Amino acid sequence: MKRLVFLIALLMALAPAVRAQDIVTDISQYDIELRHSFTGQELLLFGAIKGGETVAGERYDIVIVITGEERPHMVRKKERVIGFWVNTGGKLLEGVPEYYALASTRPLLAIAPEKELARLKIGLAQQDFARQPGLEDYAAGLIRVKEGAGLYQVATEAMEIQSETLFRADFFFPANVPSGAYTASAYLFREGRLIGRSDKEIRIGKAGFERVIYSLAQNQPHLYGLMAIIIALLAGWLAGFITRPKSKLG
Amino acid sequence: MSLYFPIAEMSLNVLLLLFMGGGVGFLSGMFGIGGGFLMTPLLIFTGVPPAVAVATEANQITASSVSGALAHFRRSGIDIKMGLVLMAGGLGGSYAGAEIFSYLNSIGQVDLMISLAYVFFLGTIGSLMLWENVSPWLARKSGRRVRRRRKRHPAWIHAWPHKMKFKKSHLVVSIYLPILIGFVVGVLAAIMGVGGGFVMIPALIYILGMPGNVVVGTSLFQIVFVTAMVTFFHSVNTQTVDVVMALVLLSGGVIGAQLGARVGYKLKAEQFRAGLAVLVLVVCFKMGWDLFTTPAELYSVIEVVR
Repeated sequence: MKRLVFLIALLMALAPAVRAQDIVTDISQYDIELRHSFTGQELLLFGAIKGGETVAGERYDIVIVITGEERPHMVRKKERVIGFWVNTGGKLLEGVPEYYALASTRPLLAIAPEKELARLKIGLAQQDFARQPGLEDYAAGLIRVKEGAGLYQVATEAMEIQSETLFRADFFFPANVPSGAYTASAYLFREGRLIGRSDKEIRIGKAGFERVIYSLAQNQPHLYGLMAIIIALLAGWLAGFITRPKSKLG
Repeated sequence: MSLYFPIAEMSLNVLLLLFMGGGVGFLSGMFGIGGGFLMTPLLIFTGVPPAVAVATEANQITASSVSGALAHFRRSGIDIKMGLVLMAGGLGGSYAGAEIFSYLNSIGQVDLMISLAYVFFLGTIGSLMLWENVSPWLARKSGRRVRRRRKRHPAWIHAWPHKMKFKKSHLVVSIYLPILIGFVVGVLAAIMGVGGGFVMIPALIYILGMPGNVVVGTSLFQIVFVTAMVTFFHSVNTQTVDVVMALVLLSGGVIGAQLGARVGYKLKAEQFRAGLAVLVLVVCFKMGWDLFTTPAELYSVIEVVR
């Protein structure tokens, strides 16, 4: 009897049509501190498809996106002016994520139609800044610069669904990652349709001494300037005091 | 060994910074130069944003000049009155320079201005230094006698009004001259991240005609105050002064300067001045080269803070 109940329960749990599928995720670290020793940080996002096994013959895909805060960015283009390469008038791009990392099981357009990607803002091409008419060159330039700085990382086909339920993706925050509130979103697609989603918040903040220095420089610039002068005068005086030969001055 | 710098917002190898500070410190100890005009370009070549490099270097120069200024003060090698008048000009100049700097920063032209200023000044000074070294040698080769012309204290400066007496320097000159000199040096300090000794010292000698025993001290005295003011203005205007980086550079610089002073004392630094001139020209060339060659990436991106 007990065995029968267990079997029924198991069958119910596995029956795909009975329960909606969704995904659960977790990340290795929710709080990242930018300290003096910060040279970059790896982040592991892992999760599972819950609510039953994947149906044989149906295609499941996962896209994981980590985005930083959106800010306007000024993009300038250099042009040759009497032989010199000079910045010419800049263009302001709105809605630029400070950081954007994406990992997926397949190329994005193979996973879902463009309309669906646009609705969910998945992929660099679907970000607000990349959709401003007439500024395509500037958006492409911005993406190249950000990729060069390691702040934009797009890796389609970088992950697999293991045992038809488990998935994981590794991300990297480089040393120059801006502080702020980050979102890690995982999307589950079945046959091109979104069927599950999970969002997590990550906080990246300057910590300790660095935080004190930075916030003082930003919020109390007069005080910071005075402090910088006093530190320099004291350090210089001290250095001269230590290294001054005993016999002669200077 | 990397260290995260909170204002520059980047990680840099501390050993590299110490080595750079030490190398420039060595040269400044050996030749008695300030070194800002080498340090700021080096920082820029390392990838430090030019605006941060300039402001941070000004802060470091305050530190590296103060002990020298104190030493001159103790043996009364400073014309305090002249220093104060120069400072008044320097205050205006560094304020104006910092304003120009933040305006150009806001329209994206500050990097260009820094590069152009360096190409011009390093090119001029390097060439003059090299010529000073090479011309006697050339003259000797061709058998002509070397006659050094030293123009001092040109006559036209006496035409300027509002004369002031500087007892220590045995001078009576118009107050506007030192104010103007201080102003120009203040502007240079603010936009180039230099102490400006390479302009100040020749100006004090050849334009004002100050005696040699107070020139270096007075110049150092003025540099400490002007770079301090530049530090303040950049902190307030653009928040680009990285105190942590300045301290790391200073640590390397102090050690380097000690070694340099010893080596210079033994080896007769004069013989190596041509080498310094070549180094200055190399830095100038590299700065100019980067302006002329097609950059790998035409676009640059700056986050807009609102």
